[in-house]
Amino acid sequence: MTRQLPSEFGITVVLLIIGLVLSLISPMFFTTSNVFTLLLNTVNIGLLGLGETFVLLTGGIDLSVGAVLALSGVLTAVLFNAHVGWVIASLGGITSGLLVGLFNGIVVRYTKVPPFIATFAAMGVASSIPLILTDANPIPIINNSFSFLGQGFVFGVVPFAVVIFVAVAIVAHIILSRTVFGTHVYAFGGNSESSRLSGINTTRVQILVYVVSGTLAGLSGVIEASRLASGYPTAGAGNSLFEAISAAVVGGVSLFGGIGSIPGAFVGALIIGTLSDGMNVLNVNSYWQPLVIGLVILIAVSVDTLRSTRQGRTPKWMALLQKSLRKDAGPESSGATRKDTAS
Amino acid sequence: MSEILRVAHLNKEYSGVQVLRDFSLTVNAGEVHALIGHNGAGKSTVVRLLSGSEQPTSGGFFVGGHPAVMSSPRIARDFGIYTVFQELRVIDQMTISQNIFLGGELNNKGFVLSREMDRQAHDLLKSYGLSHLDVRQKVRDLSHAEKQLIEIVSAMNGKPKLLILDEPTTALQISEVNTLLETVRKLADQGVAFIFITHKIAEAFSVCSHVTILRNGITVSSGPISQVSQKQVLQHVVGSTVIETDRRRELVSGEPGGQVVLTVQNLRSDVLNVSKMVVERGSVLGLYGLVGSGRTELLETIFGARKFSSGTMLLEGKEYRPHSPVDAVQAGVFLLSEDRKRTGIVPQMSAKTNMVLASLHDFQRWGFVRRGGVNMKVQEYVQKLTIQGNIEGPISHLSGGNQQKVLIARWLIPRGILLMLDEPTKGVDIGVKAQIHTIIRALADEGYAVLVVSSEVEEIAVVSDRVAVMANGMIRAVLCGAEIVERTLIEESLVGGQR
Repeated sequence: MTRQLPSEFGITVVLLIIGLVLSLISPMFFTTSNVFTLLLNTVNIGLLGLGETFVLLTGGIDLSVGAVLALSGVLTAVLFNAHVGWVIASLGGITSGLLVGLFNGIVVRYTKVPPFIATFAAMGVASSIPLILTDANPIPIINNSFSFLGQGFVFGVVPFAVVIFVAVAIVAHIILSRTVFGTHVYAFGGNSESSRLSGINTTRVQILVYVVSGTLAGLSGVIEASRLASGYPTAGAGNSLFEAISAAVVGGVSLFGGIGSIPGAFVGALIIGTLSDGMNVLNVNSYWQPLVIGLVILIAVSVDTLRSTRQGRTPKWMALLQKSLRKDAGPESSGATRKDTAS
Repeated sequence: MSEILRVAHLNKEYSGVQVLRDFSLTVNAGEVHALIGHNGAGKSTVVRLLSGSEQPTSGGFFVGGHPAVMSSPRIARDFGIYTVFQELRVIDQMTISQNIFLGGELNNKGFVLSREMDRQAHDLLKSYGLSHLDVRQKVRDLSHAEKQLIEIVSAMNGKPKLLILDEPTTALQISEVNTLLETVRKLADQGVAFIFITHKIAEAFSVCSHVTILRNGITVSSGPISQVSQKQVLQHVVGSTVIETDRRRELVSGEPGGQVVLTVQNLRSDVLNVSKMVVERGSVLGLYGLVGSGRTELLETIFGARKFSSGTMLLEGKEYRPHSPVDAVQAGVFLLSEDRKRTGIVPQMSAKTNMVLASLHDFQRWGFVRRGGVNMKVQEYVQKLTIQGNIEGPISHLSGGNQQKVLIARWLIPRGILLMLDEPTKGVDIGVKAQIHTIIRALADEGYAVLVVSSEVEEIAVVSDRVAVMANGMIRAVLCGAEIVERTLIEESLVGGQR
């Protein structure tokens, strides 16, 4: 048996290729400042995507994350203007996300309403509250310490928000790969009935993944508020929800549950971030940008679907990649993928 | 008489295990053929082959005298061969008439002609004496028997030459059975041929013109029903094979009668009515019965995966009332479920993780899984149960037997008191089967109380100290020691089923 490459390998190569192509086209792309701008712009999608990964792994979906981002930012601003201090205000914002997640989890678990509908409803609620609270006007937050969250730099070049993002990703990865809870998340998504019959507390697992997702959305709302120095009631209203889901799915997280990883979602977010940043650097007409991103997402999801319908087989494109990278192992790997078609 | 279907020398193997040997059959118009056999005799395999759902390993089909290939259910239908499977295919959310015309909707340039379908469906129902049903009613609201009749009517709508009915009466009440048999008779008079799969001998005699008996995949008798008696058929079904008493003696050595671990009293639920059952420490209680006799349901109830309406359970003398599998596992009551694919393995996960899935809490420190501990334990059981294959890879890549061993290990790693095994050797090859039997006996000797459900008489007889025979949700008889012989088991289970 040949040694198996980690499943994140394929998309990492894709990311590198995109990066390589962009830096060949534009000398502006591969500069320290642009790379960190790119990373900073990826933080929001990335954090939402990491949370979404937990939910997707159980076979659910959380549509409320974009709305929670706005809710959390506005609540932070409202609390701050009520003179409670920025730390407490931020925690308040994050907690609002946690509570929305808890609500989602409880509704999904106990009413058996499909996650798509339950979290869609929560999205409506969570996106209205900030508009009602603010009359659709942004609420400014003027505080130097608070603005460090989203605008500060470590060592002069690394944006602090990026440090938070990477730290959260590492913690999330450890939770999913090393803890009992993480294993239960995969087990529940892989086969919920087997998990239940193994005596796993599936109620807790299912509710907690929504809590994680909501909390991370809350955190990203606080960071966004800090970047913009105000609570924007319409922040996160655009494509951030779908980009977050796409980040996870592009990164190999299956919409059917049980398959995927944090490193995958992390790279997925970087791919989406790199594409938008690259197109900005290249001055691609903004009308074209969603089209390109849409196509990338479509390809990624198709690959995912094909992979889960022919389970256990390496996707052809990945086999090709592996082949081209390690020419000596070529014929064997292509033979293995063909096996099923022949019979 | 015109020949409709002739099959010659069909053989079928699943991953090297031959489940059907040299099966031949000729069906003429208007004949009703009974296909009789006990659990695992190969009846379902015959259905799958004749319906086109699966291809034989070797052998040929002749439709109307011409060679034919049954490559899919659709093609079988084109030949006029329709199958009503034991698990019904009706769609609950659709109306009766939609179900009847499913896949062959009447239409005008793509627009469905609902009124016309309703009208024709109504006429059809009427001609089968089902005019009391409203064709616009959702199938969901019908009884199981009615759904089955709808499926037959739906098949009749395709003007079949041959209709295969797979165990059509298992889920029916007596009066419903009669309606069904009456319908079969009527249609046979009109020239439709039937293959009627059943394990109920009396039923076969009441309606069939020919009978074929399968045992262990081999055709032991085939011919007009007038040439055999019910008693002879029973003899053929049961066979003359005697349980290998040597093997049994070799395995079952300790004398039963240890400390009582589980007592079930007057347990009632929608499908169960168990007045008393006792499982003892260090002994194996076998639970034998036909599919649908309530065996699996009883295990699931004890495991907290299924609700019960009344009754008591005592676990080591204390009241035991599990509300969920979580409760059961905490109390040390474990279940190896019957359907390995659906409710056993988590296919994407490694065999290793699958093995420790139920005992992760034993390996944790502050929520983190101690990998060293897991690896040691897993290695121990890989050796103990001689599990072969890559345990770091996805469990779905292992063979059925090795998957099963991993799942058994899943319940051996946490320390429990009662171990329930539902069809522990389903779909594993013979060598592994014997190993699993030895493991089960070893577990009893280690002090587990073990409850084993199996459809296979030999298996039950080999591993059990005592055997409870179930039928219709009740325990019909409890046999021990020398009483455990194949014949008694089969007869008890059939008597119950006949009621």
